[in-house]
Amino acid sequence: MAQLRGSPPIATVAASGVYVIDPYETAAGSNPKALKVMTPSGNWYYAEYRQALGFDAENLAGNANVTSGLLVHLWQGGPTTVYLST
Amino acid sequence: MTPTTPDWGHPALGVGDVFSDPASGITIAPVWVNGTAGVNVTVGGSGGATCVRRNPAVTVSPAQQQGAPSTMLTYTLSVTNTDTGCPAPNYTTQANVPGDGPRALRRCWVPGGWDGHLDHDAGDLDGLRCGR
Repeated sequence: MAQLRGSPPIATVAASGVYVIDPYETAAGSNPKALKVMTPSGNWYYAEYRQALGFDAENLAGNANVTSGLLVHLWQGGPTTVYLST
Repeated sequence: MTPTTPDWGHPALGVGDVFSDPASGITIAPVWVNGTAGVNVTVGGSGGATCVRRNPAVTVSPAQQQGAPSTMLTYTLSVTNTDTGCPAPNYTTQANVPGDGPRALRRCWVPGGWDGHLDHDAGDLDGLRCGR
């Protein structure tokens, strides 16, 4: 599974609203690549939009389970995040 | 929803689905997923903005004109954003000029409640303007 790479612009959400994000694999643009929201307990939710492009072209080719929507995962400290299914 | 082990096989959150964490009051919901993703985030159970996407209202004025060859005919295309509670959309318009193929007009950001006017001069694209 592909993990977060490099330092893409990830926007910290502190207020309710609608935010626009670009596909994670595309070059830097005007929108962030992901959103993160901190829980009261100090964990973080991440939301990202992954497409079969660039470094994910092979991983996600034909995988509509991932590319057809938004990925939400939870970081509770440590090296990995936990993906949340619908 | 239940946290699961990392797996690409888990379905993504689709438009119309909402991830909700009652303990923190956080909800995350995609509003659209098409080239970019619009994400409605509610923090602390405050409700947040409700984004509703609608087709823009489009008018062309005048509806019809006639002119001799090489005569400059000017049309005004008006695009009205009818979304509510959403980030400004990016509308791309295109003029199909008979015998001359499609011509792309420039993009215009139109915040909710504003009108975006793309004035297209069929004979001279330099006359294009974008404003409110």
